[in-house]
Amino acid sequence: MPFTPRFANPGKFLRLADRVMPWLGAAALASFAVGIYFALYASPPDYQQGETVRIMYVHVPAAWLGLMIYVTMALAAGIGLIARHALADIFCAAAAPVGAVLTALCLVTGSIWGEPTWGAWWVWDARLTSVLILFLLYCGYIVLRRAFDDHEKGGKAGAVFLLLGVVNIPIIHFSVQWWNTLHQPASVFRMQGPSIAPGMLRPLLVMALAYIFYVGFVILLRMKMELLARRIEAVEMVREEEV
Amino acid sequence: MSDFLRLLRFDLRLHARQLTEWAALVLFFIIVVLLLPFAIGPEPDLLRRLASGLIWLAALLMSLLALEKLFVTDARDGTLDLMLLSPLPLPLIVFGKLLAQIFLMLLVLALMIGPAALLLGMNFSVLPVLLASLAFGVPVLVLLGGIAAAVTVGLQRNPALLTLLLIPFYIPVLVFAVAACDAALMGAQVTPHLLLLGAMLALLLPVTPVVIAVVLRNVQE
Amino acid sequence: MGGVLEAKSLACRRGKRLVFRDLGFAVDGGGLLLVRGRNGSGKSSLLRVLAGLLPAFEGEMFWGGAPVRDLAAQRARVAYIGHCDAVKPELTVAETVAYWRALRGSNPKGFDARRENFFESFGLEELRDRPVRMLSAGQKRRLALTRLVVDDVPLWLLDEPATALDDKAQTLLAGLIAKHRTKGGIAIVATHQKADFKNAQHLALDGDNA
Repeated sequence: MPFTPRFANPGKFLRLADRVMPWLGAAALASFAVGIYFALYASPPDYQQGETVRIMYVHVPAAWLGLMIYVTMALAAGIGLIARHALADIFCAAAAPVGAVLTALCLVTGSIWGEPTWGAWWVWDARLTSVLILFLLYCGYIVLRRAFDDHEKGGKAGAVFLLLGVVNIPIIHFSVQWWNTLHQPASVFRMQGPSIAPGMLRPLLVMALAYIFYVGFVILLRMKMELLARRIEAVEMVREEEV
Repeated sequence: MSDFLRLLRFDLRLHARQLTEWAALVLFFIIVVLLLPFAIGPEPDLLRRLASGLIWLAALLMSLLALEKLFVTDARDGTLDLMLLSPLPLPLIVFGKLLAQIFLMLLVLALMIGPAALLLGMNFSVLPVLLASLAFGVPVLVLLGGIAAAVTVGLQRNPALLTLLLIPFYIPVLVFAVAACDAALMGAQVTPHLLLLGAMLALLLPVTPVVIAVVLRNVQE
Repeated sequence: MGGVLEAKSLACRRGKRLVFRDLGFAVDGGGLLLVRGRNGSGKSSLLRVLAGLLPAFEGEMFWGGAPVRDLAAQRARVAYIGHCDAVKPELTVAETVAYWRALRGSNPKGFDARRENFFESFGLEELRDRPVRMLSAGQKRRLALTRLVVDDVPLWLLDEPATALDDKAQTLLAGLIAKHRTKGGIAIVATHQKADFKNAQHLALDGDNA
């Protein structure tokens, strides 16, 4: 009896991905080019921080996307659990390291930004701390999935963790902010200054768009890889039995 | 209902007969509290300021260590299979186990708080608030820990994984609990913090046994 | 009691490995199926699938002619003795039986521990108040076997039940199974020992999954 992998239309997905990816890649390159031009040349330096504020154009979109990817993963996990659509699980597996790296990037750039601005490599700023906890949520998810030999079980366990995590995120945000204001009544650690000048908003949005295209491209690529890896595994499993 | 009470009695009886293991956790708590003054100096003001935070931290670490008792032994000795095969609703059985664990943890902490508070020179006006925060917060820790324990029940023993999974969830509990104690210290409003903890507990209490039951059925390797 | 247990094209996956596939058999009421195979050939997994503890990767189970869709219903008709005895070292023998009974719910059909000869028939009369941690492996196994008579269920799934049992206990086990079969119950026993049971069907799980 032939063994059939239990995915919903993997062929359809692969064809769709192959068609969309080149466009995403090109769009990513284009928006990065425009974004970097704006970020490094055509935007004003901050009146307090000078040129170092330009790190914001890498740091802030990374934070946005780190969060966005997590929320999307949680949505996919929910769909995966309820509708049992196998692509949902593959999306989560593919997107997790991307989100983790972006969050790590946000932390590192935040650290680099902090040093000249406040003289410290790490500040327990509300946003940075929340991002650190988000990073831990990503790491936890990745390690949890890896700990299971069985993909499906690992996917389900990860999905539960993701859903609980996404409910926890606003709680974390709220509690960290509270904790921050409780202990630092005097100084205000706002990593982008009290408000964003309009000249800074445009490059920020362009960079955010560039990140989105790039992330889309990478996640689709990783999903393809994951799908093919699972197919190989399925074939190997059958072959082992027939020996 | 009588089924539930009967199982609860057995769970408590099992814990009672394993008191030497609980003693290890008590010892851990004592060591943390005892070693802190040696680590940071015996300055009374400093110790007093850190007292509630430290006691909470010790309670949190103790919860993590105690999680092993929740489903791991049952998985290893085959009792988990009996739980899964039982005609009784699994959330009910799970709830009994969680309740027994919560009870033991609170019991142990109740015994330890007095000496700990004394050693750290804690302001006695803070004590009732600390106890209240523990009464709300520790059950939350056990419930969350139970979910993590259930998710990892089939896996190789990996305490690091359990800790990694739980930290993002334990942090808010810690923040609110210690905020309550600090508020008491400064004479500020304590109730909003305690209410938040209470809300967390109220939300988790009915939901957790169901989640754990679903996880246990689906995630066994 | 009674019912027909049937399996068609059953497959089971543990982790990345497919432990068996394309497995089929049928057992009538009163029947005994002996499952043989090397260690790791999937005997335990098969029993767990039949118990409703593990979902089948492929294929279907049938009970009384109808496909088993609701695993909870399957679990309710099963008594399962696995590798581990499911005993707690801190409880006494009598307490353990009471604990297992509590796990089954307040009125398992047809059971009364005060019934005469209950402990005696399992050779556990003198050990009633002894903590389980002081029991030998054979005694613990005998204690595990008491679960078979606590609740009246039609399907018995026994995973290497005779391990550590002495001759007398093995006779006891054979007697229990025989009595269960006369009542129309079905027993499935996984074993890698050469046990002699009368009128048994055989299933071999050694890469030759018929």
